[in-house]
Amino acid sequence: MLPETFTAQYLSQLELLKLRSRRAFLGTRQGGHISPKKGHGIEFSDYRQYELGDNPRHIDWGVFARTERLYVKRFQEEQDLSVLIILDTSASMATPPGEGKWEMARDIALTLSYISLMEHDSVMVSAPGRFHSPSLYGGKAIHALGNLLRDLKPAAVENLGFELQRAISRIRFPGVAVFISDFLMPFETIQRSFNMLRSKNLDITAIQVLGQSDLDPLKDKESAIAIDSETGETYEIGLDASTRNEYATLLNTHNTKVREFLKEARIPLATALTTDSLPRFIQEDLTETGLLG
Amino acid sequence: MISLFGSTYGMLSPWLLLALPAGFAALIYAYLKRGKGERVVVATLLLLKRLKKTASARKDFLPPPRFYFELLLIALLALGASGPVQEASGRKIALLIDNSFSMNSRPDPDRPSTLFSEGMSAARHFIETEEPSSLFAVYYTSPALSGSGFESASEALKRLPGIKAVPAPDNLESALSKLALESGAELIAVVTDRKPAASAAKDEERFKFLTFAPPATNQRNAFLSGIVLSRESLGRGDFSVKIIPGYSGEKTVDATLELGAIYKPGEDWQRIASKNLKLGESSSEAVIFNSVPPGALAFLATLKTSLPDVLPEDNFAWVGQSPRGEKIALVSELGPGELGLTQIPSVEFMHIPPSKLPEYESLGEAYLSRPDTPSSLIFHRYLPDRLPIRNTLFILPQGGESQGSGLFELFPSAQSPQITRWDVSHPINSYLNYPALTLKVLRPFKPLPWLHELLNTSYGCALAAGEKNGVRYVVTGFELLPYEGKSSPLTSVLTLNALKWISDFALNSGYSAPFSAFPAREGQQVNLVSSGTSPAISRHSLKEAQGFSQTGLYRIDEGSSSKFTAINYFENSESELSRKQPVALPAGRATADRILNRKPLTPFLAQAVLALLVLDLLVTAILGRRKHAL
Repeated sequence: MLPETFTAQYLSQLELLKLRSRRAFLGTRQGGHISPKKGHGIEFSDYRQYELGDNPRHIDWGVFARTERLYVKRFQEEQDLSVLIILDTSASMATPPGEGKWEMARDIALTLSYISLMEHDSVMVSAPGRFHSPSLYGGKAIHALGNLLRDLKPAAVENLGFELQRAISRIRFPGVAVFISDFLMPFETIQRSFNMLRSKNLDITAIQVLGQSDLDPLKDKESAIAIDSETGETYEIGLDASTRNEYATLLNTHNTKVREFLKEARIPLATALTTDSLPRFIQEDLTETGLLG
Repeated sequence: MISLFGSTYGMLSPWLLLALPAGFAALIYAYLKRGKGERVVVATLLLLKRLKKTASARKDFLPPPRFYFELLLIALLALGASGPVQEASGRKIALLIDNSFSMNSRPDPDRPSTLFSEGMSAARHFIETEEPSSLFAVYYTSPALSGSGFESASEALKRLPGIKAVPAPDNLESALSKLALESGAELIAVVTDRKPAASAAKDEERFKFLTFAPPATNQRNAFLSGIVLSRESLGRGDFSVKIIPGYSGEKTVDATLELGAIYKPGEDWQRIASKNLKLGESSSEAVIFNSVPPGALAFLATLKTSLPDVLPEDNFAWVGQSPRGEKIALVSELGPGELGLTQIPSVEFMHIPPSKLPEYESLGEAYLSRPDTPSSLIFHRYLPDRLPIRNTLFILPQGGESQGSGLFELFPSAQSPQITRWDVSHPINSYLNYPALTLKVLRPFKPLPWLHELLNTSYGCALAAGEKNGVRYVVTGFELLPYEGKSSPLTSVLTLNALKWISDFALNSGYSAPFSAFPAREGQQVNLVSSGTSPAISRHSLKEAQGFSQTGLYRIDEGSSSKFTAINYFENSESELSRKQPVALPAGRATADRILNRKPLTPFLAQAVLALLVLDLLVTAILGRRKHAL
């Protein structure tokens, strides 16, 4: 069952979208994406000189008539796309409760999955440290995926890097990878994670989901004992106007560093705030990254 | 107790100051606890731990400004709870003002200020220069000792303008004695023109005679000490005016005594006679003006001297008379002839049988105020239901058991009562030798409170007289009639004395101030038409007149009729200024505690706390709005 956000109108809008990859990947089945493989597709690609053994049915007799030379037609192979959606289900994605960060990330994952499945792509959803779905095919698989994600509750992940590596190791065929997270983790972890994905020659897109509490974690409080949702570590802190400004600067610096790394790695980044509208984010921001079209 | 800025401060409950360190400790603990703050789960401490600066509450105890504000509130509340007071000690002082007649004298005859005004200035200065925390009870001596309770200096000063000099004696000795024993004052300050007796002059601890303008070095005062308008006999003969002049001073002085008369209401005085006199100390020889005009409504005697007079107010005397002749109504079963009253010359008696009395009463005041109606009444062996509004002689019914007539409580008749005592000073008892009087039958009675007992017997009151609302009444329990003249000299003289006393003639000759009730009744208009040195005032209601103590000639109007009534003041002790007796100070003294005036300061602290809290609320509201706006 899909969340309430997935209204009939929203789904009809999604059906107009298509997941795109910046590169051609070999698929396992016939699908809607151009395969690097040339073969028996129906789309004309180009000509080449006739070689002994070519199928005489592919000889373009019109060109022969004009040029008295034998040329055969070449055709594009259209195959499915492997889509890997990595969904950060660590505790930080659901802190504070009720803010909607986890729900936003989950809905983005479901949206991308729906689009892919409707295009007959294979979708694999991985929640490092929690679960790793099999490859899913067909539009009906979205409901099973919706149920799976509905029952999933973010929780602390002990070693995100190790779990991510495990998730990536399951990938058999390269394709598109979408990493959905708040990326509020040490830069080294982010770097390592994306490098692992890059090593698999995936077409990676990063989607950062942030809540209002990420922008001002101790809003309206002068002081507090902050508890890390992942580790449980406590930290006494007092906040005044200057420290809040300093925190904003730190957050901006961190995000800038991540953005610059991803830019250098040619990995598009889209940032979704919990206050954003999901349809708008999907149709505008994600489209802008080139992931959807 | 500590002294600070000229005042003394203390606390009623100093132990409550322990709340201060307790409050401080609680506040510090609260702020230390507050610094830790509540536990908040955040997504990650990744960035928070990188913050270089944190609010001071997280690290060392460096409280924010609000801490000091809350500290100030706790300090103010603890101070307020301890009951701070500003203490000041002072004394209780009774201030006795002599406002008797002699205080009207002028220390300097050429200046208008009187001893009384100078004395009030001295009293004011005394109050203003005493310790601020002292309490004052202001008293005045005349006509009777009156005063307030102890109050602050400012309140006492407000009372002074309400005290006026009145024509009355000072009664200083009794006033001082009463204050010394009952007032509870530590000091009695006296404003008077009399000096303390030499023997008591050193008693400065208890009494302080305020000094003010010294009396004139030569206190010459000529005065009148009596005036009488009389006829040769009741209702017959020529009128004469007898005036008694006096003088107090070192030398003899030439004086002129003038007699004026008015014949119609509203007219000016007409001088009808004068005599030149030589007045000296102790001279009190009466001057008689014989054969004065019989038609005059009132007479004014004025004494003028060749030398300045320090107290001119006592140089005037008035006497008035009714224009009516003597006509007395007799309410009796028997007529005037049967009762021998026709033997009394120049008095007309009108017989009213008791059964006809209601007819006359129903005629109302309009009839009674006519000049031809009787001015006085005799009720012979008959009592009306209520007191008549005319001067009345009641001869009580004999026989019968005890009864209350509504007017008097009557006891059973007694045979041959013994006379026990009588009042020789009353005019009705003039020329009477009561021991020679033998009473055969007496109807004793209980006199009303305003009736003065003139003759008492072994069985009770036999004769009483009094005045109520300007009307005179005589009540006798034994038979005066029939009038037998020389055959019964005692009862005849008593009858004539009583009739003279209730006659209209005697009533309007004059009253002496101070009086307990103005001689007029409700519905009558009181007009002061002549008043010596004071300006004459116009109409006043009876209620206003009750508050008067001004000597002069009054005209009492009722409907179309008028009569003149004189108010005089004759008191030698007040007029003989050069022979003022020193004041003997009382010996007894009640304990007087020094007062401790404590002014609580808690209200001020509470107001300060309230103001700070309101300010805090306003500042919080304003800052809150700004935050939202940003």
